[in-house]
Amino acid sequence: MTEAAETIFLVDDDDAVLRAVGRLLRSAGCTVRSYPSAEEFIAAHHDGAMGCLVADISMPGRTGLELQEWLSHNQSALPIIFLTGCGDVPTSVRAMKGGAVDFLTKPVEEMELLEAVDAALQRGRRQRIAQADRDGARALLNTLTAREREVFDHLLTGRLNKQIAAALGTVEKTIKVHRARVLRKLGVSSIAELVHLAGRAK
Amino acid sequence: MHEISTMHWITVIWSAAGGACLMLALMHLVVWWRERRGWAHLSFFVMVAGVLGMAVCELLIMRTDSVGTASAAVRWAHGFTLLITVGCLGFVHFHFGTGRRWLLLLALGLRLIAVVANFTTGSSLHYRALHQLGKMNFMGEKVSVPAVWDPNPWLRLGQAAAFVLLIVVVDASLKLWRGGSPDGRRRAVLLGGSMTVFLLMAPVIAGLNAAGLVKMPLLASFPFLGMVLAMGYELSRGVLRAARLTTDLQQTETRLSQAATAARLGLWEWNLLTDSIWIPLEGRQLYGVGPDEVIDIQRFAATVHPEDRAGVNAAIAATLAGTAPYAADYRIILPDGRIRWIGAHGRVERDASGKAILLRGVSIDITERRLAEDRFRIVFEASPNALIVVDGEGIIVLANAQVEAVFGYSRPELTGHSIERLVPGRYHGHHPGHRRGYFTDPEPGARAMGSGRDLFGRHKAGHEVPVEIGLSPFRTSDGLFVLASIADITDRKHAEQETLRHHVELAHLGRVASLSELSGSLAHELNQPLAAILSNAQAALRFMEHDPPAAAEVREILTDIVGQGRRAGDVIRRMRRMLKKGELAMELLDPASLTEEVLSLMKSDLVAKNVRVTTHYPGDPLRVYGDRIQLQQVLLNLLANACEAMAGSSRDRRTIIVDLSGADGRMSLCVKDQGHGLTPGTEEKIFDPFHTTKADGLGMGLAICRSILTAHGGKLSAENHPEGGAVFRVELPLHEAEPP
Repeated sequence: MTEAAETIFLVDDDDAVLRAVGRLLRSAGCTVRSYPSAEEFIAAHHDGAMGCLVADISMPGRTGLELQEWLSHNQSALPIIFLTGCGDVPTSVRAMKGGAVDFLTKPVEEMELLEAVDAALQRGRRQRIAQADRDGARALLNTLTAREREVFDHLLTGRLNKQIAAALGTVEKTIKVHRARVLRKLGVSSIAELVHLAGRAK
Repeated sequence: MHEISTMHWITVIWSAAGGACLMLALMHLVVWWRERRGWAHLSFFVMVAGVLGMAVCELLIMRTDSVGTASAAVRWAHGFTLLITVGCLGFVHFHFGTGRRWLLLLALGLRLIAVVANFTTGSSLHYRALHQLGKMNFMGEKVSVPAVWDPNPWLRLGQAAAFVLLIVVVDASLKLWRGGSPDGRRRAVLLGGSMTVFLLMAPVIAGLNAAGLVKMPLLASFPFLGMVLAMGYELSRGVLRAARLTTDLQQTETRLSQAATAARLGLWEWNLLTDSIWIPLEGRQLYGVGPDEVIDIQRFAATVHPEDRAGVNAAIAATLAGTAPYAADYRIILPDGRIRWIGAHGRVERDASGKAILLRGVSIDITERRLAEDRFRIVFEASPNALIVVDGEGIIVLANAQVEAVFGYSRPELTGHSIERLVPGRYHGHHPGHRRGYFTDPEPGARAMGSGRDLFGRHKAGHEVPVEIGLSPFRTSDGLFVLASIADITDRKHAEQETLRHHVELAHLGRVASLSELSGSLAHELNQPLAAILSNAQAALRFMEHDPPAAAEVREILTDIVGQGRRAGDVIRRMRRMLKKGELAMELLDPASLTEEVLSLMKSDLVAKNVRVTTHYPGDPLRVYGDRIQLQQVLLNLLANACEAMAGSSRDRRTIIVDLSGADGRMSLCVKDQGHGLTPGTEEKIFDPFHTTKADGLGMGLAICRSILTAHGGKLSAENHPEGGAVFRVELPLHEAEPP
């Protein structure tokens, strides 16, 4: 189910649950790493880990929600599934608002869990692709000189060459040259394509 | 003139001696006649009569010139020896009291035969025939004496009789001497000695006379006269002593009567022969009888209360029959109609034949005592407790009506029987020993029996009655007794059980409330294993479908499932136990493991509230005696309160410290939180029922906790910790030995 580099990170203070859920995921072909507390997970965590996190909410020490906050604070893209014994509404709302993929209550049906895990992994992958796309667009944008960047920003707002020249205090001809160079550098042939690229780089 | 005067001497002496003898004899005859018991006096009289007769005969012999008269006088003189012998033997017998009967009878028998021989053989025992009288000078006078005679060989018999008489006197005197009393010795020497001397003198004089060494008439009465004087002296001593005794007696009587008056005693004597009752003045006053009234048994019976007459008659009859000394308590009716209780005691006197002749005794006014007894009886009967008096052998002497009510026995079924009858069979082994121990060393004053233990009595119907017993020992002239006051506490036990039931119910309600507060946590505790089981099972199914199936994994999973199933079961069991409304089940418990169990029930709640619990247990496990559920309930309450108190504390100040220790026979368990602490001044109030600081609290939790601990002989207290937070301290007696 997981791809080569993907790992399911499991955090639960109940040893038995930790073992059982780990087994279930392994039996479904996942790579699983289990941690009895949020603190231990944090200690072992490295940036760029791929896969997803399945965490209990009510734990001694750092709780599941606190772990979620920590991850977002550390700009981790790891999708989170909460698996909790007492799923009250305020907690689940808070979890979902924080970006959780799913909020499951114990005991959990295997299909529910596996589907949630699958969804999380998908989201991860999508995020990774989007990230790669954005990174490429940003890299292209970074090849522009400062002047070209100014021209690029004006082009995005849909101004004409003349208007840009006036704004930059130069002649239209110069702007034309810049515009051609920007389009070539960014590998686009129209202003529409240029706007799309700018969107990817956000 | 000279002739006349000399002749006058003998006559004067003999007449004087005879007169004196006659006086003495008559005096003692009178004494005997009045007393009827002074047999020595009668004996003396007989002897003196004999001596007198003999003296007259001797005077006749001296004074006559006729052989016939002299012969007759000699014969009669021998006749009088019989009287002398009888008197002498009687005197020895009655006054000495030591004569051998057979010797006495032998002397008497010999003398009788001698006297018979005296009258049947010849002219007298001395002379077969007296032929001629001679004349001689005696005391300056010419007197006749026998001159020529044929001796009578039977005389030896007379001498033998005299000899045996002598032996009787000597023998009785020696025995009296050996008897050893000073008076007996004096009598033995004085009387026995003089009688022996005088008895010896007669044959000595006769012998000297016969040998012609002394010329004198045959004067046997003289030595006897000496004896008479000695005996008369002795008897008159008795009379003198009697006179002195009379004086003493009068004094004693005066004192006695004074004492009797003071003690309100009445002395009395009932002469059965004459049916006259002698009773002095104070006795008469006691019975309300006039000072000069003549009292016989009829008059006495008239004073006795009609209801008591039969009893008095029975007592008298028993006394006269000789079965018991006279003792009777009865009422008399005084002339003014008042009732007086009399206690009378007496003793019967009998004559030699055993016939009752006199009943002598004393009566006392026991009205006060009877009133006191009546009062005692009223109080004894009115007591709300069952009262039993038991003697040193454990025999029931007295029991009141309450005893019948409590134990179902009637009093005749108890009095005279052992107290063990009222003791349940299971105590029969120990109770007699305890009882004897108590009697050997009774504690003064009353005390409760079997302090600290539940006591039971045994009802006649066989069931046991819960009782409380107070013991108080008291000593009377009859020995040591114990008054046991027994309270039937069945009703109180019922009330106690009722209270206990309420207590149990309240505790149960408290537990239900605590658990419902914890229900989220409990659900979680149950959910965890269920979740593990479900995931495990589903994983196992998947592993089974692997090719090849992952058998090792599956086995591991199944082992885990078993464990988790048990875990869920434990949670359910603990929960059910806490929710159960059962009887108290006292057992030995380890407070540390109790705490752990409670913590495991609360685990999820603690986690959810971000509360850490640090426990300090002693190295060796402690033991307390108590009900597991109720004690866990206390811990649950205290821990839940501690959690709640810290709800507002920062994350790093949410630790509960449980500190368990044991010292000096007491266990102390402190639950310390880091919360807001107690409002100063409410350290005691928080234990009041319905005192609460929570918006939705009932305020019964701590009140129930305290009542649980009190029922366990423990304590629950609270205080603020100097570093902040509250400390709740649970104290319980440590159990060192086996439960009782």
